[in-house]
Amino acid sequence: MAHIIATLVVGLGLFFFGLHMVGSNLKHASGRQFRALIGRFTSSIWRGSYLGVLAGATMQSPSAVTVILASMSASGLLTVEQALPIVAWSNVGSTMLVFVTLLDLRLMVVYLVGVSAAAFTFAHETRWRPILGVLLGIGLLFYGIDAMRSSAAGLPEFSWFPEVMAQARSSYLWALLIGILLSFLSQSTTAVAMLTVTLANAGVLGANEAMMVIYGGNVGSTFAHMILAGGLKGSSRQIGHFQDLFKITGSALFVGLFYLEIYGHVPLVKALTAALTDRLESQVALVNLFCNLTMAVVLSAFLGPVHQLLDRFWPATKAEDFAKLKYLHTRALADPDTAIDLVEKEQTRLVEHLPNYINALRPVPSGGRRADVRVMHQAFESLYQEVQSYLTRLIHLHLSPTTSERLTSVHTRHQIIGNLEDSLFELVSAVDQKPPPPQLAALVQNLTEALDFLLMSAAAAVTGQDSEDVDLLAGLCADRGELLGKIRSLYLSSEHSLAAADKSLLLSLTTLFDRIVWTVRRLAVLLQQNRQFRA
Amino acid sequence: MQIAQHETNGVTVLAISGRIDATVAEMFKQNLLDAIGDRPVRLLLDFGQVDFISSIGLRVLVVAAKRLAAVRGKLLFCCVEGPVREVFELAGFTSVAALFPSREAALASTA
Repeated sequence: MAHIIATLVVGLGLFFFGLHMVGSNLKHASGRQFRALIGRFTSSIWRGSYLGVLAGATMQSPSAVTVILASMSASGLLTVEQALPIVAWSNVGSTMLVFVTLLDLRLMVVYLVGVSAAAFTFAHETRWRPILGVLLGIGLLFYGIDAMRSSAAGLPEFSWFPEVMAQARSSYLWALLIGILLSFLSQSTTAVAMLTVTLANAGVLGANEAMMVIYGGNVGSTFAHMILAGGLKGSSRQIGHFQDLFKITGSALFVGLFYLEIYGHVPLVKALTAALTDRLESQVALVNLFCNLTMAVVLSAFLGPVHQLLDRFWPATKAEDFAKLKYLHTRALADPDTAIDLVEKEQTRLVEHLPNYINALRPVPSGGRRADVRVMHQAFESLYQEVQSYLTRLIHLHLSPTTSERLTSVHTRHQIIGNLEDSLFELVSAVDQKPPPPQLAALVQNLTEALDFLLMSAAAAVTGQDSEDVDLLAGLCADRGELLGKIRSLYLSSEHSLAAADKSLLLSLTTLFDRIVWTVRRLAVLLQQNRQFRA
Repeated sequence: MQIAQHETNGVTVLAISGRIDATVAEMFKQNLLDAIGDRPVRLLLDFGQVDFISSIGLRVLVVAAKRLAAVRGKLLFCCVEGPVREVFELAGFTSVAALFPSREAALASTA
């Protein structure tokens, strides 16, 4: 018993660690070419469906496919709409293996972990490290699933197991519950289907009970998936709940049909499978296929309304909404001046986002939660890189001299906005990591209010492009070197008796504040120069 | 926050006391805009009794300054000291606004 629990704990640990590696390395691997590749494979429902069948058939776990896709969605690599057909059809793909044989991926997974771990450790070419990290993550993830499966494989050795299975013969509901339990423990509907076939052949289960174990198996993996995907946030939860909807609705529908067939004497699934084959194991495999195929077809036909429903119950977070392009689209590249107008609108969104960082510097109101600056930073980075990619595409177009000059200016503005966010994120993170001592509290409060005011003024100047706001912004950004020098001297004097770490914080804050003012001044000067394009 | 208003030598003086933060920003803005109206008024804000000003408070001052510029009026500040002075300086407000050490000095500048 202790060995089974230990194996289960190891499996869970490796699963979570592998998942973390996949997610974190995907963020680094999210170059334009990689995104384009993902986009090409998921450009239509049918391409997504093929990919889903392939992923389900090779991975043998729609839950793992779901969690990986949710992680990719959270990293901005694909949208929920792109992921849903893959999830739906991965369930169908996973049923295929029962027809052939349960592929033993263990050896392959061991080689994958070993080779990718060695390559990841020794790869000096940073370009390949994220890809190797993803492979290592996938390897560890499957190693974890395999460990959980082997812990479940030990179940028949327990004296109570045959008794529990005998209960299944006494009630269809018991058979359903046993299917749920086995699937929950094994993380694999396929494994439950194979076990059911074995038990049916051995006479432990009859055909009817075997069908109910299969339906229970479909729901059980969902419970396991709910636990494993519990940490997901925002729209990536929609992918997980789509899988839950798929399995629960499918099982509920087929359990209903089962009772109608048994007690209503209406020939349905059982009759159909019996008509197709005499072999019990093939009938069980067909029941599994029909259950998943029906739901894949139905949900694929209503993907739009289903996505709207998911979006209503599990909406995207504010950060996710912000990270999405609002104005830019590929068609606008046909008219570069319009495209530049749209880039400016996205840049305005980026600048307007910056004052939100300041909330992380303010005291947390009672009962409230501190704003998570890392989430804001991640959302900013995502949108910033999207706009950067668009600018790069614009640069490669044939442009008139005036448009070219305007594009150069917008490109420079983009770099300034990026520098501004870098410094702001660094400053807020410094306070987040090392809360200021009471001696510095008043100074930090004053810096916070001044910074917020400057960022709001910068947002107003960029948004309205009003000459008065732009000139005011330029005036507000006079050199602060002397002032900040005085502040440093005052607080570093013995009178404030600051600890070494607090002195370091003081120097960081004042230096970063100075850098932010200097960067805002560059933005103001650029906006003043841009008046020629608006004249 | 409290505001006492009176006229001295053709200058509208607003003596403000307390904290100027998000909770009173709207009221503060309305008081300033009411004092300005649509006349080319000379407005002196006495900050001698102000304990704290937030970023929103500073933005209200910008709104008032823009309104005064539109009606060809003038905005002056006096007695901005202590922590409030530090916020003004860090925000760069001292570079764009007319600050005087006392009410008398501010009034003398308008004579």
